[in-house]
Amino acid sequence: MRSKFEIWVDAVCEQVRFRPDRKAIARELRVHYDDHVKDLLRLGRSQELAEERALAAMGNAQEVGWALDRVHKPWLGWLWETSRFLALVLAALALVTLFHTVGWSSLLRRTVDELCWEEPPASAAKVELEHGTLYAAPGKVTQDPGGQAFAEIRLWLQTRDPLGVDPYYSYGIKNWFFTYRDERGEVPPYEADPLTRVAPSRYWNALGAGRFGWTRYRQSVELVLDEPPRWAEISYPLSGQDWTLRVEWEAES
Amino acid sequence: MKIDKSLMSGSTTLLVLSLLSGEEMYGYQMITELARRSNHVFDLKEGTLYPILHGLEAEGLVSVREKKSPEGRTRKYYRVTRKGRRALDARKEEWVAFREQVDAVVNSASLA
Repeated sequence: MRSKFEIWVDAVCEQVRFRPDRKAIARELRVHYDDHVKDLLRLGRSQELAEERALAAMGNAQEVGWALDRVHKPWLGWLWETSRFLALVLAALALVTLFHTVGWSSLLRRTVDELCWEEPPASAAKVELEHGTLYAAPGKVTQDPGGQAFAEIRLWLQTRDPLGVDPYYSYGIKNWFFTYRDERGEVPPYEADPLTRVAPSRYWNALGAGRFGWTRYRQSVELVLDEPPRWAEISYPLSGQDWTLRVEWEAES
Repeated sequence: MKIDKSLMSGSTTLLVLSLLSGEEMYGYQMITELARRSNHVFDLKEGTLYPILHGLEAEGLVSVREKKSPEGRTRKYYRVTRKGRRALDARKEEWVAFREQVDAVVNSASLA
C-alpha cells in the first residue's frame, strides 16, 4: 500500500507537465520529508505522528505542483533536451568521422609516439627538406660468426606540420624509398629469392617498430652486409631532390 | 506571532538568497535555519521552497550540486552564484527602501 507521502508526491508530480523532471523532483521532496520525519522522531514523536506532521508541513500538493510546473516549463525542458541530444549526435558524428579517417589505435599510438621523441644527437647528419628535417646517425655494428655484418642507421624525421598519412601503416620507413649505399655499392632492400627463400647477401631492412608520431618520426634501418661498412649514404633519387646524408662508423681498434 | 502569507510571498527570494549567502544548504536545512533565525515566525510551507529554489536555479542565481551526507543520503545542495549575490544586494536595497516607506506611512498614520 502506498504511503500518504507517496500519494502526496504523486499528486505534486502529476502537475509537472515536463515528465523527465518528475523523478528528480520526487526524489528531492522525499529526502526533505524523510529529514523532517527523522527530526521529529529524534524529538520523541511517534512514527505515525512524525509522518503526519512532516506531511502536513509540506503544504498543498496541487499548489506545490503548479508552482513547480511554472518553473519546469515543458517547452524549455524539451528545448534543453533536444539541444543536448543534438550536441550528443554531433559529438558522436565527429568521433565516428575521426575514427574513419584516422582510427582509434592510430590516434592513440601517434600521440604516444609523438611524446616519446628522442632528440637526434648533435653529431647527426641532417638535411633540410621542403616539409621538415631528416637526420641520420650511425648505430651499432655487429658481426655474426658466419662473418655477416649488421650496421644500424638511425633516422629521425621532424616535419613542420602533422602528416595526414600514418607511415606506420605503410610499412614505416620502407615506404620512404630511400636508397642506401656503402663503400661497396648500393644496398638493395630485403627481398628473398621467391623460389629458394634464400636471403641475399647484401640488403637493408627496417629495424624494430619505429616511432611514428604526428610530426616526429623515428626508425632504425639495418644494413646486412658481407663486411662491416666504414660509411653509408642515404639518398632519395625518386623524389628528384639532390641530397645525400652520410653516416660514418669509427673503425674498431 | 504568525505572519500573513501574502507578506511572506514577496520576500521569499530575498530570504532564500540571504540564507544561502553564508553557506551552501539543502532544502530541509534551509527550512530549519529560516525558522531558527526568525524565532519560528516564518511559516513557509516546506514544499513551496522547491519551486522557489528551482526558479532561482533557472535564473542562474543559485547553483546546485549533489553531495552524499555522512548518513549516506544524496542531497541537493544549493549555493548562491555571483549573479545571485548581485541580485541579493539589489533585493536588499529594495527591501530597505520599501521598509522605510512602509514605516513612514504607518508611523504617520498612527501619529495622525
